Amino acid sequence: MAELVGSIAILIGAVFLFSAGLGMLRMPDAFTRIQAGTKASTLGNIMVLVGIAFHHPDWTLKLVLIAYFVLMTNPVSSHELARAANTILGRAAHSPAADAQRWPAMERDVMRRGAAIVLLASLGVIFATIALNYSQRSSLPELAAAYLDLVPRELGAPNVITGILLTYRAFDTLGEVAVLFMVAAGVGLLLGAGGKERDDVQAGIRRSLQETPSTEIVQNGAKILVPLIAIFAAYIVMHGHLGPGGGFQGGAVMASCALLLLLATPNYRIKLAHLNFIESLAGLLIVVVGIAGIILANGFLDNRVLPLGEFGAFFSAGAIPVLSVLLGVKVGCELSVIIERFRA
Amino acid sequence: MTIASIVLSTGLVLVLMGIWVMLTQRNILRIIVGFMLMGTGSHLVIVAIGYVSNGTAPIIDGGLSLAEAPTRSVDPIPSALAVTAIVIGLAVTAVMLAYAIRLYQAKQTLSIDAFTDSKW
Repeated sequence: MAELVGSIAILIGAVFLFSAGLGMLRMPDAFTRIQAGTKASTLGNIMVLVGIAFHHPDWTLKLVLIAYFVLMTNPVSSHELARAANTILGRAAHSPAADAQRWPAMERDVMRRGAAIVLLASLGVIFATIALNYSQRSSLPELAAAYLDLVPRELGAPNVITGILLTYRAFDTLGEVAVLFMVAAGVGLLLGAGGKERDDVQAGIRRSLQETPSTEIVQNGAKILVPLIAIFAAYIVMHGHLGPGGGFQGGAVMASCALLLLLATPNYRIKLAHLNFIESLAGLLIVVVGIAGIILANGFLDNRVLPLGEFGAFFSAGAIPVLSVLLGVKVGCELSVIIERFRA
Repeated sequence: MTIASIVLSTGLVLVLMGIWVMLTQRNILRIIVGFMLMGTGSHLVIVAIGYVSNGTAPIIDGGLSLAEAPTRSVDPIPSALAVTAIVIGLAVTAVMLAYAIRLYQAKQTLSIDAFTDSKW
């Protein structure tokens, strides 16, 4: 009975989420779309959470926390979106008619459209063949089975994916972090350097920020949400070896914290030098842990430089939690730098 | 319909939608949205390929004991690949948006038709 009630709640939630998507597609302008996206998806998400609570009563506390999170974040984000749309576009400028006038080529260029349709149709045929001939696997390939056996036994990490990312393929992960670093530097190069025009634009943005600082909704929302998001980010980073999560995911959540702070206090300048220093330090420490692996264990970035500990305990899996924290700090700093560079 | 083929078809449809948006839209920001749509579709395809019948997340805990891990878990390698793909996709998107800002500063418009300098 409880399962039926739960399933009906999830179905109602799905209907609201669908109507949110429909609203996004069919509503005429930015403001009505924001309204559709937020209102319907808030209700839809909460109905889904209620449904899950009926299926798993022991998860209720966590689900209430998630619902609280949804109720806090959705109004703040939609308010900020609407404000941005209002300042950038102005109310009159963004009507469908003005839009059509600004982008006339797209509807009329029959040749280009026809070519696109032909290309997509042929790609669609290829994709359909792939999808129809694909049969779901019923057993794991050898490599996957080997990883599933080796990660818990050799590395002592319950989360096999984290084990692969932070030990067996940790060198790739290091390269990936290097790519993120290059992007942060490249975005700085692209947006930082500029002539007089750029200075004018920046001065304009600064003036508009001074005239309209953030509203009370965003400031109070930030006060409530920033500590919660920071704790959540730390939790994700620290439990990467035990459950879903890890450095990249936690770092991204941490950067969303930086974004919210920037929205709430637009005149505050993040000190890029500090972030760069912390980020470089974390990168250096990752390499130090890696070299320690060569000396004390079997190779670069081997996690067995520290004792493996009890399987499934918080302090376990050797160097994986350490690497996870360093990676989280590094990714968080890099993404915050990218956000700050985009601001002005 | 198996779960893997539903996810696979959804991913492939998203890829097609992304390509369609990239080919037909003239606004640079919309082209970037199309690219992200294509990226999301390819993540779904990667995850779908790793799904095994009745599989659960490859995390050893109360729901999945060490002994039954090789039979009841999904393939962890595509999941690890998806993490990489998401991070690199984000990086590429950030660079594209930075270029969009520079292009807007150069011509005061985001329409791709205005940039004819290297068109042949």
